[in-house]
Amino acid sequence: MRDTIITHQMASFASEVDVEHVSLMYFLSDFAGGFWLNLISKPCLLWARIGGLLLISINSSTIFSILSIYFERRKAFAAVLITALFITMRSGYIIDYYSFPAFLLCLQLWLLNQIIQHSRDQAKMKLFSFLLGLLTVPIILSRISLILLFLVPIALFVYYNFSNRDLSRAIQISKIASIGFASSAILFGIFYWYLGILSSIRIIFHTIGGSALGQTESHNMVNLIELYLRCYGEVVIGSIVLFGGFFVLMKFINSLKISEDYEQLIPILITIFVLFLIQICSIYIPELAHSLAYPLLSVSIGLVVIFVRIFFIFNREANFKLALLLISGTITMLINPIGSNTGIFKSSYGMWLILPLSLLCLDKAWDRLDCISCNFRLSFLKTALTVMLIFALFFQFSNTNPYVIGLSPPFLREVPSVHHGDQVLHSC
Amino acid sequence: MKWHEAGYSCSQMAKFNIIKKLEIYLNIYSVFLLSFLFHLPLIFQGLDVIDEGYHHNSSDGFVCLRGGC
Repeated sequence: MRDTIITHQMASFASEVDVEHVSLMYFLSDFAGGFWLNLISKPCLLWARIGGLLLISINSSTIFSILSIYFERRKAFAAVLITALFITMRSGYIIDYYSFPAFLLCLQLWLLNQIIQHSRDQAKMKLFSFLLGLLTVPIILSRISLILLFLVPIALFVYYNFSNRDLSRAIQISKIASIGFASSAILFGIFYWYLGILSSIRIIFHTIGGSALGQTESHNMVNLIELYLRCYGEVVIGSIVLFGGFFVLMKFINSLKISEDYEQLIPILITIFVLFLIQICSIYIPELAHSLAYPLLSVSIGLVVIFVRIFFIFNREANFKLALLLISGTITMLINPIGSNTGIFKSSYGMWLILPLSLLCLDKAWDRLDCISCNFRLSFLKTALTVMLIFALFFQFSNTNPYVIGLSPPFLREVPSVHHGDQVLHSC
Repeated sequence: MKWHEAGYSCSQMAKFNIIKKLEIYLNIYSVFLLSFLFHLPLIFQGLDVIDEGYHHNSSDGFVCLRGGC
């Protein structure tokens, strides 16, 4: 639960780790968070958020360094900064078991890109492949459900096979990465043994088994699968409506006989009008803005998949390197929410690469849409980024995530064990 | 061919020149800095409210609140 994250983090970094008070399912994230909190004499929420903010900034720079290789720097710069604001609009801004793995995943995607870029330089390719394997263990330990990350190499192998490429290089990379993975497993095994929690690792299997057999209420696997399927159903409908609406809007703008300078203003005015309506309705339904932000993030999953699909349809001879990044990024996004009982909006933590990448790719494919007699006058990237920026600013400043606004007094009354004199984490 | 011969106006050329000059600053450091600055105001939201339920009790050690363990 979010309200115990910092408690877990402090307990994870305590001199003697008590497995009763930490979660082994995401111990490494808590340990990293605890390490950050303990850098100053007294832990405080502002410091915790500065840590989260640093991760967000590092993720943005990492993704920019990847995208600036394939796209114009100006476009990549704008896309990364705006999508960073968009995907963090419901973030708690702290180092937790979503933001920390997201940071490691960004590093791993950067390593993957380095391997792709240095495919002819054997020494560098071997080094980056080893590091890629080395990083996989901490990612899994920072949230166990990310073990599904193994779907990425499987999908890449399938794509290699479908595109009739020579698999020998991919096999060589996998072998070196496996050595890195084994080395990392040994290192972290020693680390867990040093902390005295290696023998308790079976708790993880008990938890997963309990979830599969339906012994837990909150994270029952059957309920989770049902929840995800329901959410994906909504995403399919939502993304078709949004993307269809976007096309209709572009066609409508095409039919208007106004100056090109004013055309750009129409989507902006429509977005502001929609947000104005939401704000008005929020007077009567206070939670409206809050409850609309989550579906918007979820629908982005569907939009990303549509963008990627269009790119592949209209760029049949797509850049092979970009295709590998698109596949890796999409799978990273899809596996991110697995294990969460809050639905699929946590995919946003896995969108760091794929959201700006898919936007930039569709921008590349945009001109080719002329062949289906679209002839859009407006730039896709400019319009999409402007709309996303307006939405991001609106929802960022109306972020009523309980973790962002802090615990409310009723919550404190629910806590039976708070005594006078206990050390409570305060704002700095 | 000079810029006025290519059909560009003076203001368009000035715009191109500014963009070209600014492009050298579009690097990972500026992305880091701007991303940090854009998010900075957001981390102060709600700090005036009593924050986290974390508390430490010398006899019990760390206590998990609200059954969250």
